[in-house]
Amino acid sequence: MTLSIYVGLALTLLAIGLYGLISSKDMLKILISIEIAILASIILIVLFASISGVPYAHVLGLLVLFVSAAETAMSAALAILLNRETGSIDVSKLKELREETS
Amino acid sequence: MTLDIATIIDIVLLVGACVSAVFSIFPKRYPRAIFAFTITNLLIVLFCIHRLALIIGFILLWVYAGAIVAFSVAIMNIAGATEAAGRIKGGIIVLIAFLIVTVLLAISLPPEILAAPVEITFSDFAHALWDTHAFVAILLSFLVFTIITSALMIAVFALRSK
Repeated sequence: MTLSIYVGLALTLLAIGLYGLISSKDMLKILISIEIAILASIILIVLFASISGVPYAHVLGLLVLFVSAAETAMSAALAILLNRETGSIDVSKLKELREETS
Repeated sequence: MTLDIATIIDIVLLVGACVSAVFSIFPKRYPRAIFAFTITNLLIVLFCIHRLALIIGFILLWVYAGAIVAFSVAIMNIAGATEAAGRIKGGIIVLIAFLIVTVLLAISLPPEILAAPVEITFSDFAHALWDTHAFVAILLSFLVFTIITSALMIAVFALRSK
């Protein structure tokens, strides 16, 4: 029963992140939403690692953390570049590579 | 259903993280969003410290301190603070505030509450890292990430130059 509370809260966090990801056009808010969704996965990894008591599960959490850090640094740099190119960070303006339709 | 004190603390931390996550998505002003996002990270770090002793929690703390600095520098850059000194100063202030608040919260909690249900020592953790070849996995994932990103950027710039 207690486990289901934890899983429910982690899924709530994931839902918040996914909602922000879908509803926002602002690149930084999209990045924050992705980070929130990753946080939900980290919570579940930490929870099950804590329940099992096996240190190998912690290593998986560490791997997720480093990938998350790389993704954040890359995405923040992309947001700055987008701002320099288009003057805003609205992702709907990224239409340069769209194929022309006749 | 009766809940012990450790479970109640976990639930309070996670509910707080959910609430502050909502506040980090909806505000129209960036500083409020970043502040709420910082609180979310802080609560998750405390949850990790509470569940897993200190190793993952403090690694998470440093990784997300770096993430928040990256966000802050990006926002300051986008908002028009073009002077490098200003950007660095702002990022360092955010980082120091984040670390001080977390350490104060970790110290202020009584030891019996902060004690993790399963104690994993640093030696166990280091052995697990070595046994599972996780260092190699982390290095390879960064290598693959760099190669894919570089290839993507080269492709984009090649398409732009046509």
